[in-house]
Amino acid sequence: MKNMISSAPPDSPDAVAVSEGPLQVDVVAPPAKKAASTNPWVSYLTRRLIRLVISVVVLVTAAYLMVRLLPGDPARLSLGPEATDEQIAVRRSELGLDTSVFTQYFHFWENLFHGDLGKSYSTRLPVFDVITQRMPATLEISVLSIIVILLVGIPLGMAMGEATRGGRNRWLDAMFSSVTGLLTVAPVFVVAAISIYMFAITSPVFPVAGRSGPSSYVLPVLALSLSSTCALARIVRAETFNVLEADYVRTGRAKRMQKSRLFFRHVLPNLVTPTLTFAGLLFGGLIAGSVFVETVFAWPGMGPVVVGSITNRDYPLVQGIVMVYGVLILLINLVVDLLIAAVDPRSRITKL
Amino acid sequence: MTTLTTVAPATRRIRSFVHQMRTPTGAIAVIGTVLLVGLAIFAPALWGAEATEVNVDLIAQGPSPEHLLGTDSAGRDILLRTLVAARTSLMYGMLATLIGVSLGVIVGCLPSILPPWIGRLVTAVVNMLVAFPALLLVLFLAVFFGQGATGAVFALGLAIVPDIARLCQTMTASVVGRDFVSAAKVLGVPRTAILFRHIIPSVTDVIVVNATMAAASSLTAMAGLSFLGIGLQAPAYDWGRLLSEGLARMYVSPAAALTPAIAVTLAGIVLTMLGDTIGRALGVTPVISMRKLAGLPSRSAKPEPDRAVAPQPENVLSVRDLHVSFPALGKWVTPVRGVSFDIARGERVGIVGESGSGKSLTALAVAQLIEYPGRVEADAIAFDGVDYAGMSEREVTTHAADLGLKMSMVFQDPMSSLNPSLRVGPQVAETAFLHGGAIRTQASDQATDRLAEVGIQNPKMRARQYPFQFSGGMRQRAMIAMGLMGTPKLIIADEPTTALDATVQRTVMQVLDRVAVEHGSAVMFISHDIALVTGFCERVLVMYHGEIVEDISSADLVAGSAVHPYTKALMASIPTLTTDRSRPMATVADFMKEDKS
Amino acid sequence: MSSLEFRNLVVDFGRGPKTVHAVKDVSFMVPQGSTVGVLGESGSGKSTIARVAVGLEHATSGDILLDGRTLLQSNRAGRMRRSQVQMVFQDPYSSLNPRMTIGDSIAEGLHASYRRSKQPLPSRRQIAAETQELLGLVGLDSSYAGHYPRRLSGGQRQRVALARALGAKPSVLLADEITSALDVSVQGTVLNLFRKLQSELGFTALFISHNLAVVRYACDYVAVMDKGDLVEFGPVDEILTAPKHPSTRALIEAVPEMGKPLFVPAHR
Repeated sequence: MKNMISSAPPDSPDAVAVSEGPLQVDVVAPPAKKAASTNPWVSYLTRRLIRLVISVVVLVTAAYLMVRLLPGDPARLSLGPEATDEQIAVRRSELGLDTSVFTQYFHFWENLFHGDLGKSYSTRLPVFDVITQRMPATLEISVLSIIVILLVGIPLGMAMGEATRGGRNRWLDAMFSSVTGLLTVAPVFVVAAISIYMFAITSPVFPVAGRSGPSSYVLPVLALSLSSTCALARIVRAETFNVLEADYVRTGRAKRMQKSRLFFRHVLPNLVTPTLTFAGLLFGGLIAGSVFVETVFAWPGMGPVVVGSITNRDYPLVQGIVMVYGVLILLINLVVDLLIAAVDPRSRITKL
Repeated sequence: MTTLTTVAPATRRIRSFVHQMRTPTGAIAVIGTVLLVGLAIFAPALWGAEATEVNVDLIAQGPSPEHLLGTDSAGRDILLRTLVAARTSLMYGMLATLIGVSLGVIVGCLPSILPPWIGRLVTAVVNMLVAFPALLLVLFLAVFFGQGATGAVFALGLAIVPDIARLCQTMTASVVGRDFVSAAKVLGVPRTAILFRHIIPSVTDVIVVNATMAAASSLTAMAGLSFLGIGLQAPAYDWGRLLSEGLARMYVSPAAALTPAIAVTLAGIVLTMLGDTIGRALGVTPVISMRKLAGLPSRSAKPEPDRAVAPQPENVLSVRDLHVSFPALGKWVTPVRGVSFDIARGERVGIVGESGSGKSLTALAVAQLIEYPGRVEADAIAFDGVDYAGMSEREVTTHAADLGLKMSMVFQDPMSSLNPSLRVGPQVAETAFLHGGAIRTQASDQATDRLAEVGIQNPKMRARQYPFQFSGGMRQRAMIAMGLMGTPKLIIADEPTTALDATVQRTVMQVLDRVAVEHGSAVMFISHDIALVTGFCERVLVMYHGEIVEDISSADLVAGSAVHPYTKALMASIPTLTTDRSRPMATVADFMKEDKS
Repeated sequence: MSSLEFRNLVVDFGRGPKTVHAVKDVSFMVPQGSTVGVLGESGSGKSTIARVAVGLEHATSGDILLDGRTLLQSNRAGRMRRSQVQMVFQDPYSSLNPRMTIGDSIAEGLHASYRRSKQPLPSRRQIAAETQELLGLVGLDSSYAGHYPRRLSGGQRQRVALARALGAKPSVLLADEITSALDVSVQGTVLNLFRKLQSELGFTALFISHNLAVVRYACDYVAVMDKGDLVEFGPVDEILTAPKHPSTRALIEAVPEMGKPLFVPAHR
């Protein structure tokens, strides 16, 4: 990606004119020099990573305090009401509760680095194991949904934006707006329930429970991606309208190019940043959606664990889930930011 | 302006809302909301007892006249239970919204009152929380509140806070930047008064609309938590609980699950549509209504005799009886009405007139750049021997190369007229690549040459930069360079220097002058600055209310030989370095009055 | 009547290596009852000096004095003194609150003068009467008091903005490009109004503009600014006919003048 800024376009005259070599270096340097003396990408990545680290520290601290600030004795909570005072005392020292708060906090971090997220109160299993065992199934349907959302939502939104701008094709506009409006509002669990009714009861095409074979993925992914796809399509359409109205598109039209070229070369690049930004928010929302989908379709992912952790007041488990999901979201944001920086010259050069 | 009645914004908004209620969306939204609220208030009293009554004889029955949608596993009527559950579903959703929106508004407005560094901290925290999905916050908060309705409501409420707070922050920040807030500060209006008089009223509309949308999502989210078993607890029930109970017996009686599912969705949609309707009524989301458009008024069939002359081939541009119309608020408006003029080859013609006089639209119409829903009608728009009047969009495209190479456009705002995502070089080169038959490398070499020609230093490096790395004057030069990729017969420049300082304007005008001479191009130069136009052009067209009222040589105009009263008035009202300071400025109004009397 | 003095005013924006020196050691005097024009291109700092005078920006160093007393105090007394200096802004579409009636906007100005003189606020009727008076002063019909700004044209809005500022009974009025956003045909009426008001009310004025002819018409003296520096100051005719400083000369030469070709034409 470094090449995007500093290399000369692969045009033959530039490449052939070797004698111009030093000049070129000189010529390309100023924008880079303005931002920083080093490669702008390096400084951007450094800053972005520092921000990530700070966010993770805040998240972990919040997750730690969450359990620490709870009323009641964690040792007693973890052993249940029948425990004797002696057992509790043993447990307290086991958990390190007899040391100072700072020592405990430090210890908490130490354990994190060893992959130790504590033990579940309810099942006594290490939280780390529970999550690593359950997470893959959730990630599967989430990643599949992300692919569906992007592949359907973006082209659909753009096509509708082009087709219905400035009040063209009113009927298409009305149809698109009402259908996507309805599906955007419909909650994931309702979509899931109705899809069971339609594709499993009325006409049994797809399995409705469990993870067995490719066809079992269809309904969960459909339920998980439908609302978000519609939401993304709506946003992309609105953004397409904005870009099509911009002065620079008029400049492009004044060059009399084919519509397709105008769209792909002049409109599309300007849609990337808002689309990715919104998509990033949607991906965060998928985490919530997956809990519902997995509950409805008996999918062996994190969903039941999340629900169970709350109903059982299983604090170490909740803590682990909050941290893992939190980090996941921070990583998604990081990826989205990096993608935007790679595509959008303004964020790449000015905001570095 | 004849019906200049005083309408308070409140009254206006109510009227606007009533108007929106007549649209299908508005009507459904309002009727739906009334039904929903009605159910929430009356349903429990009417059917509450019946809906909770266990009947072992009627377990899990299908639809029947007594039980329209059948019964559940305890023999209770599904329809009645769903109706009764409207209260709990709505109530908890609204409670969460209330908590969330009020806290959000407070947190969002804090940065504008607090010391700056605390304000920045609050903003940073809010920005970080916005990225986290509500469920994660709910999960986090459920630990404190425990499972159950109270916890769920607080958790959902708090989950709304970051979104509303961020909205408030951006809205207030944009209002604070407006001059009327500056004016209030200058007048010494106390901070709290500024907040309550200027800032809060300006953001309420947006907040109300978004609060309604938030209510829709809280309602479904609350149902979701109950569905998962971490919201409302038995024996209380809402749509979420009904759905989860019904889902287990989906195969036996689908209605038990589908009825509450549909109820949640309908309620969500009704509230969303309500938000939408309020938004439209308040003008938060502008909407163009073009239904029931009256037919386009036909052009008056009375060409002025001296204008009816057929287009002459020696002219690069001949326009006859040009009309440009747009639909606005249910009727057609015609900002350009019967404009006719010629531009000879190599001639420079200025078009002057005030904002809204139709000069820019005339230029766009000549360039075939008026887009749907705008309408262009003319007897002739002949450019370089081709008459484009009445051509369809498709027919115009067959002349794309002609227009692209022979007509070049320089637009007003250099900041927004170049594509921010593309490097300058390729943007400049594009025309040659598209129409000039140049291969990419030739085109880019040519672009570099042209950038040098318009006086851009170090053109090779500049060609590889993006527009935001250019100053305003340089962007305008790049726009001119873009028009030089062919051999322009006509350069249409629409207020090309209005956004620029006088010294920069001068250099850009020099570039325009030089390229026009070197390429033998005619120039159609639009500006409101008459001194600039008369200094640059040989002839001036004066536009007033969509018509050309004067066609005069620059020398005559400056010498005071204008005939039309508007032109006379315009010339007299321009202050110059020789205006008599002891007397008041002549104004257009004075002249027009004289003309009438 | 009052005099306004800028004394060694320095305004920096930002900190560290990215500091923008918006105003660099500017000193000049706006004599009692006179109008001083401030000429300059964008970024010359001409608006900044006015915004500092009314407290919308902070001075890095130096002082602005009203009749010899500083305007840059942040305490109550300072604020009260500052409210004798009022400002009219460039964009008439942003300077009136769209949700307040014209009458309410003007009343906001009147309140400021009562606040300064420590008088109790008079009755609504009294305020309404004074509002009507101000509307008459700026040449608007009294019925406008009940209107909202959206019904008004740019020129009418600028009249309202003037009335609001005058309501505070200012001894100094700062006019920041008040005619730049208006059509030429309206510009004259606003200029006439400004001059009429000044001769009737006798306020001292700072008239910021990039338009030479407008400055020449409206002002007695002119201060020319370039990149934050005050490069020339003097009587308006003297400066515009015989500029001494090269940047003043460049500025004057750059402005197209009616009846003269823009430059020696490259053709013919």
